[in-house]
Amino acid sequence: MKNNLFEKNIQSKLEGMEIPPSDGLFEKTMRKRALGHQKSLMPFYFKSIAVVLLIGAAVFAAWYTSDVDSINNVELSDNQMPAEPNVLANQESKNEKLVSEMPNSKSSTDLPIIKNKISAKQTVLSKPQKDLIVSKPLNNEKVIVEKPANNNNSNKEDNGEGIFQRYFNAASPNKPSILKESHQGNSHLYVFHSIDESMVDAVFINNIKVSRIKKLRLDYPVSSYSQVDNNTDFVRNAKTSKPIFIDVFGIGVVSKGMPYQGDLASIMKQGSEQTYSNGFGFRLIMPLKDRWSVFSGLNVLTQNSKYKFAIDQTTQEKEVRLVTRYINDPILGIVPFQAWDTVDVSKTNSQNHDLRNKYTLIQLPIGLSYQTAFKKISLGFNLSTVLNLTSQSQIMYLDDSKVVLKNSNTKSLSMSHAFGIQLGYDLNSKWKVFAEPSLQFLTVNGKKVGGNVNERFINKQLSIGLRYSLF
Amino acid sequence: MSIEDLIEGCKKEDRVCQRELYNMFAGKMMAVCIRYAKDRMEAEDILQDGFIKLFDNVSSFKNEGSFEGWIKRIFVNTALNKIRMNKREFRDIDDVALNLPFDDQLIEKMSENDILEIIRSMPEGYKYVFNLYAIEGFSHKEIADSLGIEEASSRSQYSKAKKYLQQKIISLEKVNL
Repeated sequence: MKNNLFEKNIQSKLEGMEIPPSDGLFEKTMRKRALGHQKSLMPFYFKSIAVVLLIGAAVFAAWYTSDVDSINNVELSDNQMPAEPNVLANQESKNEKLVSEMPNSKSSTDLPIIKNKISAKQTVLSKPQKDLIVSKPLNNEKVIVEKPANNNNSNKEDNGEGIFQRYFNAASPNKPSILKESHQGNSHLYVFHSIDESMVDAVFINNIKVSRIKKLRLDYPVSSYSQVDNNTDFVRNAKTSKPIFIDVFGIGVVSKGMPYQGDLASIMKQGSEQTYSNGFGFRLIMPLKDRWSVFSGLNVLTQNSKYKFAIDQTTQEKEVRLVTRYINDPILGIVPFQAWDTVDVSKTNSQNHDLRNKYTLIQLPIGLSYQTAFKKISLGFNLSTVLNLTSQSQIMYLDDSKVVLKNSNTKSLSMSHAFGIQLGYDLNSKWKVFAEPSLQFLTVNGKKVGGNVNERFINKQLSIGLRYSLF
Repeated sequence: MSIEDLIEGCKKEDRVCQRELYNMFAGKMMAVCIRYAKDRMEAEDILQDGFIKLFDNVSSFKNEGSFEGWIKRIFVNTALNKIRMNKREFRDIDDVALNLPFDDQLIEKMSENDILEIIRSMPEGYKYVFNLYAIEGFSHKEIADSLGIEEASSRSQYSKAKKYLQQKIISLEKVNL
């Protein structure tokens, strides 16, 4: 069918047909293309942030579900359970708070009833049982014990020491201390402080293995004993010593310059291309309260930018053309002759330019961090304001259509803001490896150091480094 | 500058070469786009998107076959994408065209603009199949895949479209007489 005359005729009619598009469509097309490239870069970066968030969410989900399971998994057989009233087993959802709120008094009357506070996760064990211990060493050091009293009148006798004697080796030099206790009805909650994780793991109550509560912890160990109370034989007043963290890291940066302020800003913006930059840095992190920390440090960053663009120059020229004209001669009829004619022609020349700028920045970040951890994985959110000192610049600028390369030592200051999500893994108690994708909104005063424009960047950064915990 | 030089320049993102290539093909490709678009504005949209695809993918052209054929395919595919995006679904048309005798010489007498206008005025169900089969040289299988229709449907629609076009040409010829 394709060889039919009809199709052939249609094809030949339309084959060479041209319809000129509107003026300026090429420039519009190139602008649209540049915009499209900018947009297509964003998803890659946000995907990496999404992965980190997903891992964070998985850590949280693991913590949240294991919290309940740790109690639910304690299965008691009938022969393991002496006849006792039902027990309400409670867990403290924020056990590090218990550490900081450790009471000095051992008297149960001074203590707040913490049932409401600890009711975030609870399981009612329907079978009668004697004792239930739920333990959680916070970095080897804390155990929560809950038990019902044998009878309503024996609260004082069956205090922390009694439990301690029954469940732990009282002669051990590493025996736990009571951090907190609370009594309500037949239920008593004792929070012990233990220095020996193996002892906690080895505890069996009526042949039931004590299970740990898995919870998000502080990003540093809660440590050390301050004094021993000889009267009670328990270690009291446990303190948390806060470490200082030292981060050392390398930085990889992907960014595109966004020129502003300058005659060429709009045309350069269209031709902005993606560049890769790198740097390194260190920072000190000081825990404040709970999971909050402040940090500051120093980064050295080489910030690159690249612009490929064309400048159209229109010139008016005169062109001499050969033109055929006709004379209507009464004798010879129409006689053609050729004449030279001058016409004005405007010519547009495009000149390609490829400008590359390089700034060496010394950055002083000051920020706030929220950090938490689960097992060996830690997750942190860092927000900072950064003071930037442009110490050296290598600028390419346009001077009357000529590209001039300039090295400058002119110093300039600017501010930027950064947000990062840090994912860390504990190598041991002192060292941790971490990766931190972050976004930094950066401004560089390019005009001050001799460039055509000032530049803004949205740096998509990835820092990879090591954290050392200094106690 | 030869077409090979322009292609090499475009691969290096040379703006001058990109402009030259645009100047060389914009008019021809606009004529392709306008056959699929509902109006000139949409045709220019397709033209822009087509050139963006062209500049993004010019490095994948391996100098095998005609470059013009390659870029024409890009623009046709861009036009078909636009049709899908705008949800202008292909609709089968059941109008029965009259079986009038057609003189092929009539086409030669007509201007290219008249033919283009007749094609553009065709119902969409006819227009896409006719453009793809008679002008771009797609097979009915390719048309069926591109438009998401049955191959048999493409055949029958083409047959009807051809009769529709012939009818229009005959009636236009009568008016001119």
